Amino acid sequence: MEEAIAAKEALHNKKVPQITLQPEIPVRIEFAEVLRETAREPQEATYMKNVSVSDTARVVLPGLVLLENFVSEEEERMLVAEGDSRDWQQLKARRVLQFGFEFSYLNRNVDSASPIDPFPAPFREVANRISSTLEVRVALSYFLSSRPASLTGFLLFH
Amino acid sequence: MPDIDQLTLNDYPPGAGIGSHIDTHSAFEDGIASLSLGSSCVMVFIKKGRSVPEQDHPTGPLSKAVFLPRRSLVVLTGEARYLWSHGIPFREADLNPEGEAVPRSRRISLTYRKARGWPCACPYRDVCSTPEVGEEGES
Repeated sequence: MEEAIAAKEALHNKKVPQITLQPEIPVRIEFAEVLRETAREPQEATYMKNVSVSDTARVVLPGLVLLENFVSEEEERMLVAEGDSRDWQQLKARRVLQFGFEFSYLNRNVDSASPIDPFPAPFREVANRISSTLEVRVALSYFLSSRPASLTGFLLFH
Repeated sequence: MPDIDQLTLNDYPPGAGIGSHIDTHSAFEDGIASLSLGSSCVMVFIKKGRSVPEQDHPTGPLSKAVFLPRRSLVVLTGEARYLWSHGIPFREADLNPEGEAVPRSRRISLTYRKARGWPCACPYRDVCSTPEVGEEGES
């Protein structure tokens, strides 16, 4: 599975004259995953008024991945301490702290042309762990492969 | 999520939550990862869009509640990211999957995203913040 994902990330939709007869045609890489516990069909959903948390807590919705114990208790303490050492922005019911790019709570968007402070090292380490986690890569890769063909045109021409 | 470049920390006092929302499609790419520190909570998801006539449905909108344990990572991709809104109810305690009440304590979440530099091309056009283009927009 690792190899299949790596191959797709590296080669899908790229022109690789070394392995194609017609250099202008991009390579297409597809793979299938054997369905496991985390990828099973979602159970029938319940309706709002009938929601009981204990009934639905184990129901996974399409595209949601939940990974328990992603950080240790020691890492948790260290990450919270790192946050506590910074200046936060107070909102109505909570406070926020941002790195990389600023999300504006007024227009609900980011200005991707204006970077702010980079991630402090302990937070970057978690980002790297997320990026290299197999379950996350499988979930993202699955959605990309399931897009209808008409959207490919949208991606290419807009 | 190969190029995470945006991080938001949220610091919730005990019992605080966040209103139901979909992260702006045009602001961030697919893949939103959130790490829960200090406390567990329940995240409630509500399905949006034309396929779910929530106003008309006598029993209310389609929803699911997911228990997020302390130190867990939740990742929203595809439909969960683009088509379902998510929020955290303001409440003193949540029920865990075993049916036990777990009091909320101070919760700090680390939300990792990738800023988007181009229009969103998700298949869920009726809920998307990137406007429809071309002849498909006429229907």
